Amino acid sequence: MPGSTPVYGFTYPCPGETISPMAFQILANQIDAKLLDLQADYILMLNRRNYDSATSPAQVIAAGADTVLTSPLVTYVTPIAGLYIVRARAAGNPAGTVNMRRIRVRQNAVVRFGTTANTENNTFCQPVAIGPINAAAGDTITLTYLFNGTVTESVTAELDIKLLVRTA
Amino acid sequence: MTLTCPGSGNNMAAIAKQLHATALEAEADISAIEILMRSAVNLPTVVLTSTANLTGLSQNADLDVGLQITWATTFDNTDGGGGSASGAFGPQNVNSFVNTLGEGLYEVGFFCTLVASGAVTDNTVRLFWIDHRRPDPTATGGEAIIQRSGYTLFESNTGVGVEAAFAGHFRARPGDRFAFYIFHLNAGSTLTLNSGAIIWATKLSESTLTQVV
Repeated sequence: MPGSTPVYGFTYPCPGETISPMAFQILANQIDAKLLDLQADYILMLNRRNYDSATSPAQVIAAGADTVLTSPLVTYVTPIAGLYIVRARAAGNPAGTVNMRRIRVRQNAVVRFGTTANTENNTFCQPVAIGPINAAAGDTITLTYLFNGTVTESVTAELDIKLLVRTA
Repeated sequence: MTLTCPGSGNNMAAIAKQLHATALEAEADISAIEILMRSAVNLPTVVLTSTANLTGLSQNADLDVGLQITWATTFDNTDGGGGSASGAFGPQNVNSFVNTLGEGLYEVGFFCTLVASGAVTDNTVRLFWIDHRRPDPTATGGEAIIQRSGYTLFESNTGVGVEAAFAGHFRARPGDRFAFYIFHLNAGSTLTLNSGAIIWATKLSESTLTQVV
């Protein structure tokens, strides 16, 4: 039964085992793979992982319905596990009246944080929300938008995300 | 990284032992590099999330809710320098986050949702802010306010309350405190700060950077 090193699990033959050239190849490949992993850290040192979306196309949303913004521009799948800082901004163009707007940020459909804006008496206000999300690789970050008023709003949004801490 | 190679000969036991040594050498060298690189990649960060509602928030008063809320540590990669179950950013912990990590530029954030416990007074203000405070025996309350970052919102009385999620940048040093405040003028009833509130801080940079020439 081959042994393995305590941190990365590099394998090596134990005394009494039959040694084949495969043992050298396996160890070499394991070291190579770990060095490639370090390369990812090297890139992150110089270029912190960032996502900065363009403004999403307008999505028509009915009054009173907390609605997921479906544009792929404001949907983000976390590429690696880590702590991310997420910033979202939404702008609505109403067809009727608007009393309040709200943008919320979700992780795997669970609300994490958001910001409301009171727009009564035609006050122009775009909600902006910023907060942390501790994510696994493959988590999905999405936005929801709610407005209180009449008829509909055409909503555009932006999503900015940066990785603070790599956890895996 | 230079690794020693197996010598010539048919001593299989020696070859096995040499491969073992080679694997350990590679691991030690790579591990040392990885520790340095990860510390450069990963900014020291603490995230706390509240676990219970904070009720009875009265109007027309600056309320230091950070001290009153029950916090749980959601994330902490500072090796015990920051997070704790209650008030990591509060004076009872003497702001251990900054004390441990030292003077530098910090990004600090705050999110919470305020809902009326009873009647909503329409269009009344809700203020949310982060104070950067420093001990000063000559100042009122023994603390001087160094910097403030905040958000002004108004209740629209649509049944969803008011929530704010924002952040500021502060140059802080050991002994400083970040305080999290709300203020409202909802005369109709007290407010409740819902569980799930978040405070977070990350150290972006040292105050002084060594220049390599």
